[in-house]
Amino acid sequence: MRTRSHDEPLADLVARRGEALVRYAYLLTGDVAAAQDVVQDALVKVFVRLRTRPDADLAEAYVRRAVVSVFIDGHRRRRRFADVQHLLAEPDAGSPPDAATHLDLHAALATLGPQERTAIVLRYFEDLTVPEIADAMGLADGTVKRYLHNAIGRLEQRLGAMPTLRADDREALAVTSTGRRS
Amino acid sequence: MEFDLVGGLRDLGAAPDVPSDAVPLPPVLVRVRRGRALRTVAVTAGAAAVLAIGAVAYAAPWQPAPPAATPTSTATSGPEPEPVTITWWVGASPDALVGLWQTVAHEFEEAHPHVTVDLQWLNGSDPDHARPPAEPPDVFVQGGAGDLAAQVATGGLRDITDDVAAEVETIGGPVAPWMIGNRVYGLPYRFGIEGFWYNTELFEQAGIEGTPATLDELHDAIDTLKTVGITPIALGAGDGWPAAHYWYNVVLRTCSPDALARAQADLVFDDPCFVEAGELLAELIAAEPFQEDYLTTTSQVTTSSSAGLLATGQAAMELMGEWHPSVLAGNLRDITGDEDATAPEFLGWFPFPGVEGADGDPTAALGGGDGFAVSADAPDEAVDLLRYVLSEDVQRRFGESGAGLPVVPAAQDSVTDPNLQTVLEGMNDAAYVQLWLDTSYGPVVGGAMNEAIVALFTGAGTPQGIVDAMTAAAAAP
Repeated sequence: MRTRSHDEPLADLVARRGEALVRYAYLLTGDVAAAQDVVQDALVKVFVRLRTRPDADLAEAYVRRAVVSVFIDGHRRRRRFADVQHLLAEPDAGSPPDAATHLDLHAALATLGPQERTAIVLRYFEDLTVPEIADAMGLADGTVKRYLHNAIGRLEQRLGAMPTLRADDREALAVTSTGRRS
Repeated sequence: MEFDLVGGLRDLGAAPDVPSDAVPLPPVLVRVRRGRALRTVAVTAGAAAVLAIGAVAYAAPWQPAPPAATPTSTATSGPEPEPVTITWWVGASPDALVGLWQTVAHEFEEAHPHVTVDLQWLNGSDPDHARPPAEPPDVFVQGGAGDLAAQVATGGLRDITDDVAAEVETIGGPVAPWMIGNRVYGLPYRFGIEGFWYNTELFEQAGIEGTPATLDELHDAIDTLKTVGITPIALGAGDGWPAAHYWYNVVLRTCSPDALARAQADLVFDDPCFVEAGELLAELIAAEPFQEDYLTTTSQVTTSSSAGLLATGQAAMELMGEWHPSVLAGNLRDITGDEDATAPEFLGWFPFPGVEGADGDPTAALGGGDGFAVSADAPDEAVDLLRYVLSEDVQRRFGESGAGLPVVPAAQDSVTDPNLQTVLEGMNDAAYVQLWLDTSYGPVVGGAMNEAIVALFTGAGTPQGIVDAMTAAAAAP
């Protein structure tokens, strides 16, 4: 039987950071219940395999990485991207709302594929570099840049211009966009 | 008008009502504890058939003998140890693996100048290596589980528990089939799980996106492939076990881990999940996904085998273990005559699909491994050779050979084939690895089970008939 001390790192992480982890996963799932499931799966995935007692920050970093992979794997298995394909059609030619809020962001994120959504969250919430995102998602740098480019294009169509974009993402847009935006 | 993406994401994360106990600890703890416990593979003490990989299954003419009354001389620390010959039988192995074992044998001899290692292997098409050694070898392939139990029962295997404590600690769960109780009688050098190897180009040609995650999606893929004239699944049912594995994999999806554990412990199969598995398999068979002569096709050795069909793009999928890329490479070498042929570029892998709403653990995987055991009257140097085989250095080279997945975790990044890496991830992600059911249940129940499953494929049997055959075999005196 496991001793209590063996489970302390897990119990500690759940108590201190459980809520924050669910809020993080919510950015990916768009739904709190789904986010709780993803976090639970991520915790199990990490702690079943940990052999040694982890440093608290390291444990959380592993779990945040696992949240991404559980989320992506869940979508790969369910092929839900095919189901939301129709939502990716260009929105009506009306102008974006006067003052887009995080609720509009929530709706806009829901129209992105899971990989695009993950790339946006890792870039603009976790503040990772493209190589770091590529590593976290198991993709090539170029693939990540493509996801970011496509995602930003869609988000801007729904929400308006986004001044807090990183300079290098904007450069990529300038080079590759084909005049979709006015 | 403008939108602040960074601020917006922050606000979005803070927005919803998330309670401070958003992640209840007890269910996570239960799953983690179970996951750690279940990573050890369940073993029964019944004798079992060992899965034959590669060449035709053979029966060794010997059983390892119990030690003589007076112990044979063991390695001493005298100034000049007596010359010693260790016979090492590695069974049916692809060429790349035989090459590795030969190198390992030479390196061991160099490190131990008084030792000669006599390496022997099986290669059906080479007259010098057409049968197992006539005398019981010192170090030899051992499939574990019931096969191990039978040899331990005759006293023929050396109890190596105290010698390999470090290796057991390193390898972890996969050692379980080579243990009886707490005593260790062998070590695995490879362990893997089964899944669908598939032709990514044929899938693309048919317009299939992604890979089937559920049995329903597998049925969809089968229909789509047939529409464009592609044989969906290659199956070598002529060998029996490839067909049986379909039932094993569906059982893993329909039966909860508890139901499986109970069935294994008591050899009682009255949980409805077993018949349910047969019904789902019958549906799959009725979809006619296999090549025309699948009932008589062999699975691996010949160019007209089911593996040959997959290798040459004549079928889109095949359900097989992690050894398959090296089998496919061998097929292509035979078919094309190109000595350097490797597994096809178009090869991909996905785990056995899930069954929505069923009781099984969706991450559970079916698998098994190969190992080596030491004869009870072998010299001590034989144990040293076994430990050398399981060293990180040799395990890395095993991984690099592409012949399979090493069991030593530190060596696992030596696996460069992206498909084998996917299999490795699937294995590491599996909360539960179930040994091949015929190995687990023993040759009496396993043999009856396999026959009854094949009968389902030929139309002579029923889902209930499989359970009835197993129950009758378990009850036989």
